[in-house]
Amino acid sequence: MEPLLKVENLKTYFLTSRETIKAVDDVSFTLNRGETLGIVGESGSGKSVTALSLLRLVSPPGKIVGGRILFQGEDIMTLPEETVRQLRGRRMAMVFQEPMTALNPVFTVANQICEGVKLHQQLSGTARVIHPRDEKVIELLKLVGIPDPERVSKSYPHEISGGMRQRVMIAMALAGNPDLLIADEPTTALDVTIQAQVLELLKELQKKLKMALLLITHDFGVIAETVERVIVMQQGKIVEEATTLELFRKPEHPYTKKLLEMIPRWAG
Amino acid sequence: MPPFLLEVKNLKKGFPIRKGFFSRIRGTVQALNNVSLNIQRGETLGLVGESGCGKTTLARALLKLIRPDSGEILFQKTDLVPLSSRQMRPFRRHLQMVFQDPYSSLNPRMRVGEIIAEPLLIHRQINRSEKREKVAELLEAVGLSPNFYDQYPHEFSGGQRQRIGIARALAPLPELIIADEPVSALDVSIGTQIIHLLQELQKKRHLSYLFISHDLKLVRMISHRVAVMYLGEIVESGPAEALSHPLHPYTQALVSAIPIPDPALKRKRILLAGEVPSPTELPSGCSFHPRCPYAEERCKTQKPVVKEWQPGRWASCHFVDKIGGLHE
Repeated sequence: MEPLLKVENLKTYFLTSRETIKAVDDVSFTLNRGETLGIVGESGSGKSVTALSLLRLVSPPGKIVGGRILFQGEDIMTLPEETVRQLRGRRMAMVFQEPMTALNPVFTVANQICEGVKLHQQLSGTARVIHPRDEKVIELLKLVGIPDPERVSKSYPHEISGGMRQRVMIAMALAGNPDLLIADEPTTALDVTIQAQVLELLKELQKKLKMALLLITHDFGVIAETVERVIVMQQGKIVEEATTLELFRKPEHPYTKKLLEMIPRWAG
Repeated sequence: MPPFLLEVKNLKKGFPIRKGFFSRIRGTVQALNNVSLNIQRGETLGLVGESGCGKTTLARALLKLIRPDSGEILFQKTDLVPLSSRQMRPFRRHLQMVFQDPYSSLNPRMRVGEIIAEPLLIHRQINRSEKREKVAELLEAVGLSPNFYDQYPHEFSGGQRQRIGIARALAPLPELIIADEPVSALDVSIGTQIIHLLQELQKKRHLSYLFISHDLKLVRMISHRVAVMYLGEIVESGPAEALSHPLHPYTQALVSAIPIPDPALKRKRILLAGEVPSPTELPSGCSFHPRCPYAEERCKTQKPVVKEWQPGRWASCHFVDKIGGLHE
């Protein structure tokens, strides 16, 4: 079967007048339909830039300088911008780390969820336009486990908690029924008890909606509990790839070993 | 038992909420609600809790950076609460702080040497001629090169900056260092190095730490004893090892929420319902009851008192027996 996503020799560099920073340097991996894959690494290892490259969202001075990104057989690199915009949010969507900065503070939750959907309907020429008071919005908020969705839909981002904001972000990402959900440190800004809730939610939705999930994190604990396969990145390169069980049982690369040794053990 | 270096009794602090044109007081945020704790010489007390539970308020109140409403802070048997800021001054050198964000806690316009020497000059522990020598010593103690004296903070990485912050805290030879989330802004590998540095300094200088963090794993690794805070109260405290079989349902939920880096492990997670309630409207009775899986009618009306259930292990819950921590 053809993989959902196939990345071949991806190179994303940041070109400044003084130097070239190889943020992503010759990265290749595949992701199948309905599969969960984690990318783990320390800050600056190129995890987030990899994710942004997949959506072609790298902004200057960053530039994708080489490689191919095949999504459902199409090379994203060669598609016109208009087509990529239709792809984003509809077939692949992203959840960001900071739920406060990723939401627009002057729009209500309902308006924000609609905005994405509206845009896609305009782009694809569908006549029916979703309204903020639509059932669909409430349905999405229910799907991500928000209690009292009617009230939350009319709230502004600052009126709801960090955990609720992250749930709204996930609802927005799910609005277009994507085949691939990219989550970049989705729980890093949250408290542990809320993190546990959001991770459970992501896992549950991934199974229910049969999406592929690409989870980016620095936390091996999150990896162990959420994904089936892992990629370890260091300085823009993949140093190890394995199933989650294998990686923890016998890490091959010295860098992975070092990272795993540094985790404070919790004998629960 | 030797006397405590620091003993805190029933500390309270509330912040008024002002609203409207005349800024009338419309309520209070009860940030600290009868907090009691103690720290011995050479000991690390870990303080854990989620954001907004009052950890940082407690740290600031202990240093009298904010004035507590009531309670006692006994430092070597002297109560700091009634002291004026002038009277506080001789005590400040014994109580130092390391801050969370190494990017905003160092003055960008001062040279590293000046930053580290400042507390020494304020407390008149050195004169100007001894400055360079003393700073070089401190830089070496935290694993930095003495040549950094004339450089500015922006020239350093996060980990190096945190070392500078630690050198500054060490400078006046304090007895107690309050470290408020000292590694949460750093990468794991860099954070681990800072933890090792703190542990090494503790051994060499017989320091006491109040180590504040939201990260239970980290707190357990570095602390001798741990106190768990929820909505301005300490709900459980005890030896660090005892955290693996908690007495309080909140501690139990915190422990079970931590993602474990072992994919082969299957366990039952206790997912707490809902979120931390607003500290402006504290729940009646036990403040944990709206999220507690064990809550019964009694918890809604009757506030549990903090009791010592086993030597050195304290918790405030009506149903400690049911939680199972006592029998393991």
